[in-house]
Amino acid sequence: MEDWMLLAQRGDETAVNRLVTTYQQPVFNLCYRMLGEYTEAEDATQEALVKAVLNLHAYDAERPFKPWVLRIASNECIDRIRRRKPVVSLDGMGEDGAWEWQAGHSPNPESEMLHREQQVQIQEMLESLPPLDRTVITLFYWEGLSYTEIGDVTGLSISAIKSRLFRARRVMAQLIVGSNMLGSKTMEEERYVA
Amino acid sequence: MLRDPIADVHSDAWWMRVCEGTLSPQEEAHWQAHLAQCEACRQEWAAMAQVDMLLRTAAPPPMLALDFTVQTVERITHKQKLRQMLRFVVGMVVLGLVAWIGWAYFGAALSGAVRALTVMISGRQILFAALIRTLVGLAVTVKSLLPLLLGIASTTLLFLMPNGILASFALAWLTKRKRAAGAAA
Repeated sequence: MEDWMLLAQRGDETAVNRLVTTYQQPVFNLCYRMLGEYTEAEDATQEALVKAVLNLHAYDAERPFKPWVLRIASNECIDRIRRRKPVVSLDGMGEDGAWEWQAGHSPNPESEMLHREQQVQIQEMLESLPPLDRTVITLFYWEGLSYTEIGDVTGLSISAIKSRLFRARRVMAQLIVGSNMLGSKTMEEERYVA
Repeated sequence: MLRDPIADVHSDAWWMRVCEGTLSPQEEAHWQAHLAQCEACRQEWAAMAQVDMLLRTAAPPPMLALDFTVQTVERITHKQKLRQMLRFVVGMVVLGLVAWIGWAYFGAALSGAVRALTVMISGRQILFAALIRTLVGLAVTVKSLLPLLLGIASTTLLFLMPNGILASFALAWLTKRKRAAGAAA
């Protein structure tokens, strides 16, 4: 374990600050994709980081730290998803019912509209997946973890990860086919293909 | 070599290999030929490609609020302090329980020793009180003996009070060390 992690375990505020600053955004990215709502993702991120620091004694220093803290975050998000009532929350939704884009830093309305549309699509697809599949997709596509590291986070074997990735992509593809969105590309997609 | 090409191209195992890009050139050719004929596979393959593209080009999530780090660190340090306090309280309770259980089981044997010690201390105190009264009486009667009597009273205090015993041992040890240092010099 690095020296500053040992200090964080003992309650040194500077070391705790460094740990939180280093890992808060990756943890938040995972929580946001899994929960789909900014405020809840922020709460889950804080909860996960608190648990991680308070349980540093349980961390195996031989293994990388990021998958360990993401595992805590993933379990936190899965618990929250399971505790959710089966009613669609209006938090984070705009007047038209679409998921509200929370970045607030898009340079122009067209770009913001595009991002919102994309966010709606992605969130709908992710919501259709079981929590563990959602974790695997998020870690593979947005956290840039290897299959081994994803296995460290989820406790799955590499073959199980590949299988879940494939099944998740298939489920999302069926959503696209089912909603007849195939062929109706957004401007971003057209630029990507070009 | 494909045993049953038509069944294979619709199986999960085949599709996983297509997604991972692990088909041989022969299998790839077979796959392309199949796509040209099978509308369902063509549609699904296009949808999966669209999913992959969407996920890879998704905009990143928003950034966290500026005060998030400060709030989180405050919460962590607060919880750590609470844990330390809880450990201390639990430790004291355990110690108290152990002492209580120890006294309950071994109290009879201990109380005898405590009683003897109490008698020793109070006995010495009674003796000391009597000695001091005698010395004060003598000092009042024969005033020239006052310094001598004060010296005797101080020496008696040192030797007869329990903490005086410790002080006496300390004094004896210091004197011994001083003599040894003097002899060495």
